[in-house]
Amino acid sequence: MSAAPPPPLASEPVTQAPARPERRRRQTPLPTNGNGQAVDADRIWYRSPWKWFFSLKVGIVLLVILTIASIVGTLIDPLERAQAVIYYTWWFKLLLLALAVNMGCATTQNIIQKLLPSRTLRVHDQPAFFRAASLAMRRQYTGGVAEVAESFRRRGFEVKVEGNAGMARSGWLGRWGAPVSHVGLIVVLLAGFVASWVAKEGYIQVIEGGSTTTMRMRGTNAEVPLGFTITIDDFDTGFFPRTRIPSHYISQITATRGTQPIYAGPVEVNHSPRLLGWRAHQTSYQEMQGVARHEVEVTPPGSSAPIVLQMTLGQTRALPGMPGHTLSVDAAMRWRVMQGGVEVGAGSLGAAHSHGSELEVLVDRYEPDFVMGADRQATSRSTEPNNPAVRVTLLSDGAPAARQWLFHRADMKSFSHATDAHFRMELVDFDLTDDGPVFVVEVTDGHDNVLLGRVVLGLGEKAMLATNEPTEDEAEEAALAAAAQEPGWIVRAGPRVPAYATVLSLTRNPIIPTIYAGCTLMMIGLYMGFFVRRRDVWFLVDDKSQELLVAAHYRHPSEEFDRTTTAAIDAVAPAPTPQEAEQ
Amino acid sequence: MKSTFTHLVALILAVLFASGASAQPATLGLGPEWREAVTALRRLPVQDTGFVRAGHTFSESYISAIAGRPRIEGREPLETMLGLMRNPHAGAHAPLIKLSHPELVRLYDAPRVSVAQWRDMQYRDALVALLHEDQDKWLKVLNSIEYRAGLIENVAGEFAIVPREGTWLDADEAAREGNLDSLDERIVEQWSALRRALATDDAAAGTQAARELVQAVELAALGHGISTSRMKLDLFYHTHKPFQKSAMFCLLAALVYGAALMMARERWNRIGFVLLSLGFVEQLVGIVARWMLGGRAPLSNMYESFTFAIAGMVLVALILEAMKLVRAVGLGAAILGFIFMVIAHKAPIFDSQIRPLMPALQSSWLTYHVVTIMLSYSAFALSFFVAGLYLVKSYVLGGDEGAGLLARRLPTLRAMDVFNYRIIGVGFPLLTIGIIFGAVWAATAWGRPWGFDPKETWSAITWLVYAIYLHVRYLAGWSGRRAAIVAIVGFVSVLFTYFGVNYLLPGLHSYV
Repeated sequence: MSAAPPPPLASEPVTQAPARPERRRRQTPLPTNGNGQAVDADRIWYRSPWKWFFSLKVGIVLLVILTIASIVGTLIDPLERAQAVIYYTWWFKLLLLALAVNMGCATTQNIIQKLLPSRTLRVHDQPAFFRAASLAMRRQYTGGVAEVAESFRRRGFEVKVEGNAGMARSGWLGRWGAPVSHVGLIVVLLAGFVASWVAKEGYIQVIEGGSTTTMRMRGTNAEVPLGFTITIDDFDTGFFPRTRIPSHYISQITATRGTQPIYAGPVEVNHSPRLLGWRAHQTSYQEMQGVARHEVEVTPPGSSAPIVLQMTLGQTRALPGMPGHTLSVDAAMRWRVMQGGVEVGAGSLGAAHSHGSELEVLVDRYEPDFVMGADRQATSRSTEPNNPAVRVTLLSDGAPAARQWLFHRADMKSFSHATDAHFRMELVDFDLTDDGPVFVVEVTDGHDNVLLGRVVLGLGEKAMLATNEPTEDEAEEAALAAAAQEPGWIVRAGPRVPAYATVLSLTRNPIIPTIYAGCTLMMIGLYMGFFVRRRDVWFLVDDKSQELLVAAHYRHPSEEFDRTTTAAIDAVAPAPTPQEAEQ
Repeated sequence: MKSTFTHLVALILAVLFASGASAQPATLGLGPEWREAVTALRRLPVQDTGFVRAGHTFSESYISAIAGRPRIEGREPLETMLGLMRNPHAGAHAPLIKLSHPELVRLYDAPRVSVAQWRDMQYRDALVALLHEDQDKWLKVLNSIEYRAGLIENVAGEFAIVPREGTWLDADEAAREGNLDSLDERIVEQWSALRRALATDDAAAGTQAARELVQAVELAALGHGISTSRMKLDLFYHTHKPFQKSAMFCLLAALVYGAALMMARERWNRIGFVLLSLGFVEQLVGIVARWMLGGRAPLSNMYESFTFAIAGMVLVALILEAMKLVRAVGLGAAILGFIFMVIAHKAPIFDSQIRPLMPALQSSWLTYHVVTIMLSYSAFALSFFVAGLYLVKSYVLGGDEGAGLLARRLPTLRAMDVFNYRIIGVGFPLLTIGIIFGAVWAATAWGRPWGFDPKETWSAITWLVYAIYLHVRYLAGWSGRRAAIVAIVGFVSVLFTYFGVNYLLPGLHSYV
């Protein structure tokens, strides 16, 4: 806070001048002419090719170009395209590099200037200097210059006295604020520049229970080996009570290299574990359409406590609490329990439905771009598969038991309402082949949600609901295997559950600590530059007029002398009282 | 096929139960004898959108979700909810549902419709035609209207008042689930008693049941860590409305400051200072209350960050006023504080409801990042005001030598110029630190400190504009008009970064 300046002497008011020579010098870099006078580098940079490195104008032009390019980039959608055509292009990086070089040169110059002896305390002993100063005062004073100097020293100023004049300065730390913050920014820019070459980012998309040893690189989409295995043991998401606002996304993962564990634990948003130099980040998750996932109840021989786990068809999972045991379920819903590579149990999950009748599925209509016409008839808006829908009839012992439209699009699925509560049908997958569309339809029990079976069929086709009867070869194979099996494994399919794939991004950026160091320097520099007060005060004891002339310049422009300066002056030359001022 | 169509239309357009538009005048009012019951239920703990809220708060957001405003015909929202429970027929015929799309307003020739109108068969073909025109768009719109109709029809089912770990149950659910302890039984019993009293219009019995219900739910909620003081705070926050009150104080302060400026009355300035201080106290009360109710710093959405920035701006202005740097700064904060507060409560982009934090925001970096950024915006807002004033005085009022009253009363051009530089000298470091905090957070959460997301890029653009301001001013000697213009451009960039990016450009920061 600045104190109000003492009233000027009535005889001679404070001189107010619009500008001070110091300001001009500040914008004048190093070069000097033959007379030793400073020359504006901006004016001669075009004559000396290397001078542009130091030029403020060039710096400003670069800032403006970067600003415009950045604005244009934000108008490009999607972000990946903006990155490809602007932010990650060679010319944008070159601009950033040029800015860093420009700032680097200017900062170096600035540092050298600050270190030069000529830039240290400089005394002015001409009264004209004080008259021209924008912030000046004069007081009646009969003492010596040493007292004034001492008064400033007592207040922490560095003081230099020459004859009757002197200069006092405080806040040296603040003078280094700009160079320090600029060095910090240069470090950040250069580190960012290097990071664009050395940083790596890829992602994995793995279904619950699945594993991967590769990842896809962001941008190129190239598949590269990880060097270790990541298994998604579980994915969990929850919602805040009575909302659809997610409360958490957590992937429980196990990372191993060979048999050696690297990490086992959660990956969640804002909690990214380190895996051999990579960081794993929870990016997103999605329900996998067309992937059948079921609760499976496994009761080992001699046990009455079943193990419940979720399985995707075609998946193999370790049985919790049973080391060395794995359970696999193939696409035809046959299960197999292995122990140390030896099959100890096998069977079929797709139990015959509980209704005791033969079920068939018939697909009799297909609309690739389903829409309800104004005539209340289903029709297609186009031939493009924008909203594929099939009409499916479930036949029980040859008689229609249920009929409904099934939609492939997730947002339309809720409109597939069964006409028979006993059965629930779902179009879990849809594919366009050369022979026409192929549909995968799954039927579950409407009461307990237990899977009754799934069929793969085309338009106009009818298929028996898979009862998973083995073929002759399979039956023979199973009979042979049965001899080696432990008796009594019971594996049963439970209700169908949504299958989620979690997407983790994996990043490796060895430059981040350098970027943080640059940021820290920037913050320190900004504090020094903006919050450490810097004062340059000049004083002259004019013996003739018995006056003390004072001029000041603060880093932050001010209309008034600050409290410390005023106190230093008041201590030797008190401000006149209002009565004295009037006289 | 026909059946599917029927289901589709039933779900999307809700026209299956057409009952014609012959609505009788419907009344949902309960009468003055029910006032005590309504008053008692105002502090009934109800679980809603992730939090347990007081009955009043719950009903306010419930009726607002249907009608777009909490009060219908001047009735308390809780009374409207009880009215819907008592008289479903009247509820079905009361024009409560806000039509969120102008085309629907044209179709129904009213901004709000009743459930009966919404399901009137005569509109069916027009709605089907809309669906045919753009299925994706109209599915969304019509589903939202259907959702509102559903809220009207299922009022009783939305009172989640039986506490459980996680999701609370409504009384009917709890009764169906069974396994009730004595408190649960009391809740179910009193809820039934209240509904019976409503059905028979027995206000005395209803009041008795309401009181006992509140007692029972409060006791049961206590077992789940929900104290009665929390309900009182919730009720206080939503009835006292501290942010709205702060707007009023800002308006009064602006008037007094304005008068002081025009009439050169120093004492009036002090009154303006006191009024602005009261406005800040109200803002502080609002922030603290939201913090306590939400269990986290109130900085998670546009409304919260905006009100925080307004409070920051008023605080900075009060400090500068106390330092007597530039007189106009208090006036600026009062005017902007009032305008911004009105925008925060009237513009549909702001959601004032306290909501739980989504996973991406569950980080302590949120507080550091948003606090620093918003405080920098506060400083830039003041700089914008003073720069504007500078240009007005300079171009319109003839500068310091201008003959007009205002020209004489306003601070000198140099004082405003110096102030602007100094306030930007506060805002710029804060903005830099805020951006750095955001980068560190991004590196923690996504593995990269910078990704050129539009919000990130625009914050960098804002930073560049202010960096240009500081450099051209300090090194090239720009000051006065040119510096003021750059300061204004900087604040326009702030506004675009804060508002424009969220609504015009896609990106990761869409929630703040």
